[in-house]
Amino acid sequence: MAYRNRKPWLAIAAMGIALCCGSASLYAAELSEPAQQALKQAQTDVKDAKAHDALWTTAQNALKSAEKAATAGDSGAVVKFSKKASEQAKLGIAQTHYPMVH
Amino acid sequence: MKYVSLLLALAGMLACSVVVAAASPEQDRQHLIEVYKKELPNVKFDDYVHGALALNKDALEQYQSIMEMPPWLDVLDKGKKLWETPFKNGKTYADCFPNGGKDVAGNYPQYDRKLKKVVTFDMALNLCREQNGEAPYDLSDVKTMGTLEAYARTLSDGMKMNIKVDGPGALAAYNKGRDLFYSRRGQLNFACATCHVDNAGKRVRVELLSPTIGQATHWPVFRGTGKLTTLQRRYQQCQKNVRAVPFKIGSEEYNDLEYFHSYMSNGLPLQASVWRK
Repeated sequence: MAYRNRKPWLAIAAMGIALCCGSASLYAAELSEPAQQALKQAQTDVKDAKAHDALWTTAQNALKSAEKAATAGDSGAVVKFSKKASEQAKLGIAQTHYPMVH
Repeated sequence: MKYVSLLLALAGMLACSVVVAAASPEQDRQHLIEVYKKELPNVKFDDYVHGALALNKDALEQYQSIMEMPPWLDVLDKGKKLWETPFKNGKTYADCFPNGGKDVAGNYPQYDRKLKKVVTFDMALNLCREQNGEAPYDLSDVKTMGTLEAYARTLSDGMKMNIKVDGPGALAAYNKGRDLFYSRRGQLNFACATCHVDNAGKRVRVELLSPTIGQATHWPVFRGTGKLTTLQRRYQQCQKNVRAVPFKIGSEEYNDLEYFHSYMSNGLPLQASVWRK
């Protein structure tokens, strides 16, 4: 009986931990392994581009789309948008090494 | 002999690169003037204050017609009220500036040696508030700072832009602003200069691209049907247009950019709170 009463609290605690951890692990139960990895990588790449003041709005939007797809449990879309976000985040950083126009 | 020639050639290349790297702000400005003289031979120097309107007779006439009775005078009235309302200690903004705040905006942005950073005119207004015990305004809020600035800058209408870059700190800030202006950003891979130097006078879709010189003389502006827009808000819009995540209004990056950008308009008269497309 005491165990039964604890169940909701355990669930709430688990949700809390998941929310605190944030990022890709939040969607772990629903997403394929490649999708989880792609999303985690995209989040890292976008953060990196932001730290370099080199983030493109298109990379930012792609990550948002990937996170939305993750919430919906759509692994295919997560991989697609995450790859786009990662690629464009890296291009943004590479752009900081381009010569100036004059 | 071969080695001597090689060394001389290398020394020459090094000297050339030093000259390019060490171009002074005034050399930068003169260079732009020369570029536009070639590219836009029909635009007189004083007409650069009109931006892209100087390139289109119809648009300039439309501007002149709107400016006869601007529909945003109520905003300037609100700004005047903000300017004249005393702080809790009885002082006003006019007490913070020489000449009661008249003919001062053209001296901004300026490099503050004590703060070791560029101070824009709206930052100076906020410093005035803080020195008098008031909380600073949000620099991105057009209802407070934007409205105050829209009036305060009109007190300098006619003053010639007079930006100074004195000392190593000021020059470093100017160069950072210059670098941002000439650096490619966003998915479209555009620098500010791509549009406003290399393609000034040409069209992007239906809009004519304005030259850099004169751009900083008339802010804030009322765009379209009267949307109050500050210079740094416009920087944000430009960066979004090239699909780059913009900097924050009041960021060091934009302040340095405004410093460089305003220097390029030196010698041209200010006229704030005008209409733009």
